[in-house]
Amino acid sequence: MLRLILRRLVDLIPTLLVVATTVFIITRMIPGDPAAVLLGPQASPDEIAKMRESLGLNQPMYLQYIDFLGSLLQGDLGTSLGYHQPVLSLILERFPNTLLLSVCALAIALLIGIPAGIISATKQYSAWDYTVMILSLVGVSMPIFWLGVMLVLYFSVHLGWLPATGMGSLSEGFGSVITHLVLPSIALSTIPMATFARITRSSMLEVIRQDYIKTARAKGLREFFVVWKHALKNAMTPLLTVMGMQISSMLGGAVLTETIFSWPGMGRLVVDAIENRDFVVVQGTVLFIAVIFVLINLLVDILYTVVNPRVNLSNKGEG
Amino acid sequence: MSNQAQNISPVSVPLAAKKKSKENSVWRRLLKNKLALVGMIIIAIMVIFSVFAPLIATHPPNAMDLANSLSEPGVDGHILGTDNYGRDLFSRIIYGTQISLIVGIFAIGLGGMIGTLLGLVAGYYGGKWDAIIMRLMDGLFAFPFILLSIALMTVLGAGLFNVILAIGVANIPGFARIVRGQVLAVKEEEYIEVTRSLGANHSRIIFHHILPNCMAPIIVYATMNVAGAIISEAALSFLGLGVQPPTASWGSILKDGKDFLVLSPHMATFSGLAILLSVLGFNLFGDGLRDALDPKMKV
Repeated sequence: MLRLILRRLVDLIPTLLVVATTVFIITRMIPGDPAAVLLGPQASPDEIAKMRESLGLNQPMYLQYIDFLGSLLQGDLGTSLGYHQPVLSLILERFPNTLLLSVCALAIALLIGIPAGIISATKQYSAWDYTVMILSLVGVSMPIFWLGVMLVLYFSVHLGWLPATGMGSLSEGFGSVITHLVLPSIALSTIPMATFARITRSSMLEVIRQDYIKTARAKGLREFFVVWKHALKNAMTPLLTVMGMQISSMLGGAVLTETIFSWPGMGRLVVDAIENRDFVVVQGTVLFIAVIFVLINLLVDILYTVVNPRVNLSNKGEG
Repeated sequence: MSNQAQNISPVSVPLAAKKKSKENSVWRRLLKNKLALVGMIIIAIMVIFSVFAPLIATHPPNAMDLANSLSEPGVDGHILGTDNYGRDLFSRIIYGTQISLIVGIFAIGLGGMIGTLLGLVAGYYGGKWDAIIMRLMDGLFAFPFILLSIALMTVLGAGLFNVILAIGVANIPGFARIVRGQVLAVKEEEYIEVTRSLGANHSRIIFHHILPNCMAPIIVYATMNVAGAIISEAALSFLGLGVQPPTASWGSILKDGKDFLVLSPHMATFSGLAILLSVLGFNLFGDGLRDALDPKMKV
């Protein structure tokens, strides 16, 4: 297992190199002089010249690229022009908030999506099955930024039950954070929840028709154990693959959710940086999220082998 | 062998008949699927709204009437009310359909063409071509879809063309992966060996024999991703990075609607419903297509 994990880690190197190169190319695509764009229209030629110097833009492109990679290896994502702070420290301040939101959303999605899919499969073609399938179809099509706005409209504006924006503070009590967390978590959980319900249903339908499940039933095992212990374990494999993709796309979804609910996470940081034309922060945050994305996929690959040891990790994804 | 000779060869006649019969059975399966039919109807309505927008819209989409701003639905002939500039919301949503469809179709066309080409080369030639292309695609795949689009839009600047470019580029790796997987399976088929032994060159094998056999998953993936492209365009416009005012886009109407949520919730409600319905339409149709083309894949 350790050898396989190490091998996957080595495999990550070219992927991470492409990620870094893509970010480098994107930032070099800024039309005109990047230093002038970064400083804005009020900048004097002197300031622009200094900025060019500090960004290393006077060097040949290959040297700029090598410098960029060297800085990344040292954990240097540059310094924000707006915040006057290292980008990495800005990200690390906000990352726990995004993580908290994503974990809550994932928990909601799993706790509702998987049981809904299981019950839907065990009661195929029932009213419950049709309801779950229609709701999950609507769920996967949901623009979460619109859902977020609608949740604010009803639960904050009309009913006044929950706060519309912000994160609350632990100094105001744990309840303050929880109440602030409810709406953004629900919005962010919608697409993964619907996806989990659909995948669980189809995967369970395949498993519960197999002989060993019939045998378990014939042996007189209670239906609860047949479904939730024997069938679910084998239905988990496709669910894990989808889970990896959903967690990753939740990081993207967090950008929109955090914007609507003014949640002080990385997504909000990116959007604020775009508004302030703070490209260094945009570049650093995009890079950071992409690396997290890659690491989550690695974790899912490893979990994949733990759940299903027949899967050879080294061959996964080939062919 | 000339094209004409190929067309009348004894082998191609039953093959053509078989192909036609397969197409018919796909259509039959598709039309039997009620949800796919709902999806098709939604897409057809979108197309009609786009093409006949000047005839369907009750007002010019950008005509301001500040005296009537934020009117309720149904007031003064404004079916869905007006926005903060007094522009007719119904007309703006109708014209917004054009933007959504243009972005959906062209972005997926762009990403699909480049991704398919890369997937064909990687899968067919294998070796170092496969390694280079797929490592590149893995790297691009590491970016959450919306984030890559946001990053590109930040540097490219707002505008319809750039939206198409950004969403198109973000779609390339998905197509490349799907096509490569298909090519790896198809190129091992006996008929490819036969074609090769008959002296067909690489481009003929790739474009005349392998590509047509990869089309089913490409079409399904493309249909599903039009839905994704519509959401992405709306999301970019919602963040102020997409199509710029005064052009009507569902995302930008929603953005304005968010600022007037308490006074005029109808702006946010109707624009969001338009996004939801159109995405649902493409998803339903995509689901139906997948089931019709490959019933074994049914989810």
